[in-house]
Amino acid sequence: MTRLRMFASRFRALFSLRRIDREFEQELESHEQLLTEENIRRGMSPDEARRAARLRLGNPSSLRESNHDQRGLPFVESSLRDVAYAIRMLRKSPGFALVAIFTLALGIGANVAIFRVVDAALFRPLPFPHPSKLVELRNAATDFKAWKSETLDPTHWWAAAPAIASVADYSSDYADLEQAGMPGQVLATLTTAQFFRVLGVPPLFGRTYTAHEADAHTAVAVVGFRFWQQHLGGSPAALGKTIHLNGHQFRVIGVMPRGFSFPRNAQVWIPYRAKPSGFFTASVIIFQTIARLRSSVSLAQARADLNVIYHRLQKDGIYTSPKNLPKISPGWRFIFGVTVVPLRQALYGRSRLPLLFLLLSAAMVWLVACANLAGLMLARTSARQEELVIRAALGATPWRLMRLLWLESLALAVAGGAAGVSLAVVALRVLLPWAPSSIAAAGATGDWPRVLAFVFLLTFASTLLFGLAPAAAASWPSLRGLTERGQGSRTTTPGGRRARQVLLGAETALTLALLIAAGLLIKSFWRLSSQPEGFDPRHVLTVLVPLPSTWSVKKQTLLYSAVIERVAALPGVEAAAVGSCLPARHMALGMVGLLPADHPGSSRPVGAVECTVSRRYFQVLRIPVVAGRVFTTADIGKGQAAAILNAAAARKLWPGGIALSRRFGLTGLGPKIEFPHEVIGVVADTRSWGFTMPAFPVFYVPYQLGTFGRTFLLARTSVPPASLASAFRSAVWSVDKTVPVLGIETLRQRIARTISAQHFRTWLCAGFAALALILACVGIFGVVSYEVSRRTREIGIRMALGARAEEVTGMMLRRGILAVWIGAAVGLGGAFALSRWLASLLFHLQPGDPEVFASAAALVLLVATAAAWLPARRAARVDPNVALRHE
Amino acid sequence: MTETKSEILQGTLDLMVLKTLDAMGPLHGYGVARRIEQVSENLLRLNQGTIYASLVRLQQKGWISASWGTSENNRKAKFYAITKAGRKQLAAETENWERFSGVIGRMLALADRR
Repeated sequence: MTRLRMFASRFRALFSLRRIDREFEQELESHEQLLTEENIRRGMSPDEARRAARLRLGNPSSLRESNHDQRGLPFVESSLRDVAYAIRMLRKSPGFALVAIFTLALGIGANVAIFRVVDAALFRPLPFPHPSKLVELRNAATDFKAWKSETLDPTHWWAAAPAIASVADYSSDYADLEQAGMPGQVLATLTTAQFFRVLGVPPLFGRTYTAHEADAHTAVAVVGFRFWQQHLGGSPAALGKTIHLNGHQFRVIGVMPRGFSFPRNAQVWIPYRAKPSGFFTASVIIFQTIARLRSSVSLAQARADLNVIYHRLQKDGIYTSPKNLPKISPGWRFIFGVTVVPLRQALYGRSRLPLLFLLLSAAMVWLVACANLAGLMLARTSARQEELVIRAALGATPWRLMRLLWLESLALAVAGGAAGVSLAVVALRVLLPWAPSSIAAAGATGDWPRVLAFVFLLTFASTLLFGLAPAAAASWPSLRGLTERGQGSRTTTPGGRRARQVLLGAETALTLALLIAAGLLIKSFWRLSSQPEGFDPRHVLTVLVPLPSTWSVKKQTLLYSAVIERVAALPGVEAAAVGSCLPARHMALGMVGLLPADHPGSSRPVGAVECTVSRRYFQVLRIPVVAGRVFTTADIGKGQAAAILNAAAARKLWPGGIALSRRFGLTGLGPKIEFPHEVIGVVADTRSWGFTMPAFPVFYVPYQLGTFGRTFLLARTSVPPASLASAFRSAVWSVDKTVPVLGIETLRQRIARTISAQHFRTWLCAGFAALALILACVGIFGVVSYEVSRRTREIGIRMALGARAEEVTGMMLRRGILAVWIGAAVGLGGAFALSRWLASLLFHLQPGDPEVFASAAALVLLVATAAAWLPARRAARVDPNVALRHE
Repeated sequence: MTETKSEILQGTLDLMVLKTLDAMGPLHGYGVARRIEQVSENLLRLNQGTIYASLVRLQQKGWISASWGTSENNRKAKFYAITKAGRKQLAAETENWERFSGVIGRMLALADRR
């Protein structure tokens, strides 16, 4: 208590030390006066009295000093003085300071940007109350009886489990927003009533929808804070207003608090029954299920509970097969059972390894930056040997000198950290749009206080790495050093030299390891993107033309056929077609089950993507026909059910057999056509989503039999496809002006997005590796040049004694290069360990790929040698005459 | 060489200053130093400047307070006065000191009976 009060008093005094000093001066003066008067009273002469008074009082300047120190906090004061001195010293060598700050800014900035994303995705608790109780239930939202009856919440089965406190289904997709002349897209989410209960977040104001509203077809919406600010003026009057999404109207009933957004960057939530048919452009809505466990329930218990319900459902045959289909085993949709996955894992599980890897790469860049800087600081400290010797001679303790050097590092680190944060802000703004959506969403919700704490940690750690270590490694000046001035300070100390060699080696090792990791990712990515695609993505323009679900099939068919005709007639267009799917973008979403007609009971349904296409679809995409034929107008009559399979679907339905002319049926999701189809043709497999998945089974049917919300218009062009964009739009609008024309893109652009995650991490890692390589080169160059300049005199002597230029160059080169070689060997080992860890990110590539290892090692050694050779060559140009007189 | 003018034990000066201020009321630095010397009958000869270290320490601990006033020779001077907390501290330390000096006294008496 007393201690604290003393500290507070001393701390307060720091701000008025000047006044306190002045007052003490007065006090002493008055004391001296009183003593003098007393002495005069005792009969001394005035002069004598004053002298005696001074003696009694003590040395005034030492009294003043000790009073000053006692009043304030001398440690803080001298530190501040040292900081001021450090800053002054840095300003004297702006070149050094700029290089150092920039190096640090790169190292820290890279880490801060990555950390912000990684923290939000992996470390920070999810931004909901009791996040550890949130789980995703997989294979749970598939109770179609409930869906069809339109009265039951599809999650009602699971809500009965004792482990579950609340459970909700949701599905999200981008919806077109028409709001006060501001067209845009917003991630809209259909949810069941318990959605907000599960997440545990109440609305900021207004309310969320009730179970009754969620089940009835009421068009209400809850909006996010950002949406409210941007589109509804951010006023409470927004409640009751109407928003238009995909052409439907919704009344706003609630606003969620700032920062609430789930899934990803969703900003509008609507009851799942509000407008389910045709609201989303996908033909089938796939729901995901989230649940909140009761507080005392463990994950294992929840799994057991849900499995009990699952087995009961299977036994009861609750699951009825669609009409007109051969009997299928009850509950086949539940084949896999229900899986309970912690929500964080469900959201970010797949990004975990890539994110951690990126964080590690950034950390390696930072280490290289610090090693680099440590080299610079070491050189600087040696160059300041004289100054330090003088300071030591005047009584500075080693601790005090160390602090002086460390504070200089701190000043650099703080400037570097600040610059790094600005760099990170810019980098995030530039890079996040390129990132896969889950990463972008995490990056947008990052928590700045945590990030700033990380920055402080990093800055402080930097000063320890590059500031303190060299300061400790440098040999400490002594008085002896002062007397040896002129000789002692000319040559480098063995301690300092060894420290520099270690730094060189470390830099090389880190750089090589990072370069190899980047090389592996690049080679893997290259293999990935040079996979055969099964179609020709060049010169294809695509555009989404969704029609209102209220239109009849006939009306839709008329419009599409007219549009196809107009587009095909455009100059530069070779062929045009419509299709409800695009190759390379097939996902396991939106699939239906196929069953062979000849042996229906014996096998599981084959999951396949249903794709409704027009006649020239295969011609436009250049998908080869393997057997049979494509559709003709004869296939479109009533009661016809001609279908084309891709090779994967044919193989799976009739393993080893011929598919042509055989029949199959489908188990539908919701109200769909459900009669046996006849296979009239088989086409080649096309790439599925993201290259890494095997070709997905697809079956094609003529669009005239019924198209579904999401239909692309596509055309093969003989001119660059992008140049036809506006002609495309006006061709559609010349048929019907009210039809929306969305997202005109080339097929290539759309496909690029399917491998955006791999693309993103590959180039980011390559960027880090390049950064490390550049930093390491600068570091090696710097250290060798420093050696050369330090040893100019020695070199001069050697040359005067007859050493040849090559010998001198070789000598200087060897010094730097040996450390580089040892570092490279260590780096190879590290890279090997690193690549094992990365193995699952590599596509068709061994983690120890010798080609990558060898070329990365060769690159590093070559570049490092060049960086060392440049200054070493300068050593050979030393003129012995000049060198010997060199101070 | 035996010293008649004793060195002041660390910490005892603070106690003396406190006691002086308690007994005499507000005093300036000179007054405190003078008083201590008088009471010790000039056995204690202070380097009078050191009194200020003690005064600052006591002030920082909140046991005495300081304010500017006018001295007897009509000069501006800083007057120190004991605070409530200071009185409490003084009582505690007095007791401590008495116990301690009692122990020392007995110890020294013991040594005589060899």
